[in-house]
Amino acid sequence: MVAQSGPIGEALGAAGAAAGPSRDAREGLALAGLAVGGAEADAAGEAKASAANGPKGQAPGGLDGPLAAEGAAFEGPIIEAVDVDFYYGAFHALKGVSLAVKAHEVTALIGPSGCGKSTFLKLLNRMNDFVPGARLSGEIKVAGRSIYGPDSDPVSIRRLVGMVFQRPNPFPKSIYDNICYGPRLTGARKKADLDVLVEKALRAAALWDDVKDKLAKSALELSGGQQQRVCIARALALSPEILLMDEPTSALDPIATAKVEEWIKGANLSIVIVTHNMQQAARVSDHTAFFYMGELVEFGPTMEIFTRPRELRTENYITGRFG
Amino acid sequence: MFLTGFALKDRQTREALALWAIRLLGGSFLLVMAALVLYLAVQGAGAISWEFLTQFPRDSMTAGGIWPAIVGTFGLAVGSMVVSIPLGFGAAIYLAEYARPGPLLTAVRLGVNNLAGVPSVVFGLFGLAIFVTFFGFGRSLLSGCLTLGILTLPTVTAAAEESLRQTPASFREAALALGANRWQAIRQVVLPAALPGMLTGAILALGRAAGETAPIIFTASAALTLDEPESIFSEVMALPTHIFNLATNGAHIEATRPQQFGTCLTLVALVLGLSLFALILRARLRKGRKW
Repeated sequence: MVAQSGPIGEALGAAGAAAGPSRDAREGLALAGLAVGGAEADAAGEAKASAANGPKGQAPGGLDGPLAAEGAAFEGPIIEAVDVDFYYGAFHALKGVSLAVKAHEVTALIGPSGCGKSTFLKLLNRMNDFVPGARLSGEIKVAGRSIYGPDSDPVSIRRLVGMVFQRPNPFPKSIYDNICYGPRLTGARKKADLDVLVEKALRAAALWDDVKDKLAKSALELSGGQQQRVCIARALALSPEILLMDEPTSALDPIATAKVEEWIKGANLSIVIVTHNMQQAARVSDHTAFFYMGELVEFGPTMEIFTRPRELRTENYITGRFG
Repeated sequence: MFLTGFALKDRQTREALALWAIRLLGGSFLLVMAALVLYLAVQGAGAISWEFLTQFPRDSMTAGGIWPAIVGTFGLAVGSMVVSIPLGFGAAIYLAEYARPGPLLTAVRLGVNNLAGVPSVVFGLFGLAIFVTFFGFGRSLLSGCLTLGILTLPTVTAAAEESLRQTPASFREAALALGANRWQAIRQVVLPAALPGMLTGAILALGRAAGETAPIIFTASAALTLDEPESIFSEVMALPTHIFNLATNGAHIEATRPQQFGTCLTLVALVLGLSLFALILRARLRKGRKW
């Protein structure tokens, strides 16, 4: 099993996300990245996550260095941007942005439309590579490694840094094949491994009970909220270290939004979320970054940003005076 | 804010007029179609028989059948798709997915669209010069397929490119964000989603290839063959040229009238049959692919 699908196979060793503390160490570890289990997962989460990296092999096509193995020793910020300037042609979209995101936290990026928050998000998994005329200066590190360095490979970065988009975008394939898309790209083929992986990813996305009887059905037959959770599960199936979410609930109704938010709060994973909805940022995030006109105006613990912002512009924005 | 009685009535009248005008136009189109098919069926049905469909022509074409022409047209139509689908889909993928927007792309696209409007006789002459003479394929199934393939290339390319462009960008994004490279995203996600639409162009092209007359007069067709085509280098008979020959060149133009209409009916049925096959294929591909 391991030989073929590497850490995926191992990560799949555990039956479900809800397993919690009763599982043996190694299984529990594998869960760390995917767990929704709230208290159980949180209790041991941090320790497990670091220890997990020991027995885990390197993901096929992971970052050059075995991030998983180094992660244990790595204490710094999971994402670190230093003096990032970004241009779309002549348009200066990001101006000297420096930001450090802590591992296993939820970081919200807020600000009015066109302020650069989505642009910044897409820099973190190099999705802006496809924009003609885009130009970057400064440095962005993920887990201590420069992702725009000469040796970095965008494809392996994207496997490490998953993304969920604004509108649910499941492929016109079955639910099962949607979840398996990423793992299959990395060479996972064995049906038994994939079966376990699908269940695990769907449980982690809190969707398993809704869809376990119709995995072969097209993902497009699901409701919008379920589709978005398929997209979350699809990203989780690659066991990413970081999940980027670009206004993940803006196309969803309030009930579906609540479910996705609940998932975000329970997930033991580093999450960066762009949102237009300030209540959402306040509800789900540990840290909040306020962007305005391409600048990072203020970054700090969410409680502080929303209760005693240091900058007038932040205060004006969160109190609804503009935006 | 309520409309006065007069204004309301006026608006309703205009609405009714527009509706009837549209009904009339749509109806007359259907009527013309129905009349054409009915006329063909009435005139041609008498000639259709098992012998007509399976025999070679006899007695200066006043008797016997059109089997070799059916085989030839089928071969030309399918063969031309073998040429134009790979080339056209390939070009479309390049234009839609890889080419950077700019003057060059605009020029190429303009060229493709204009090529679709070039009269088929021009393609015939081109085929004669290039495939028949220059490459020395002679008048043959191969030359005919290549010529018809190029003739239908713009249709296939334009429709395929349009279909690729209509595939939501979010599919590509999702695949790329999951660690696919560009070609994997295209092959595994974009192409399967766009394929039904891409086939629409191919279906149209197939019908056109089967019915074209001028290009194959230059490149492929014989008035009469005594055997079924032996290889792709054989001359072939074809239904459209057979109709043309019977109606203009034969020694017994009047006597072959039933054969002429019978051949027309067979050609229409063949095109419909091929299109139907492609339509069914497309419907199967489309299953569960709505978004």
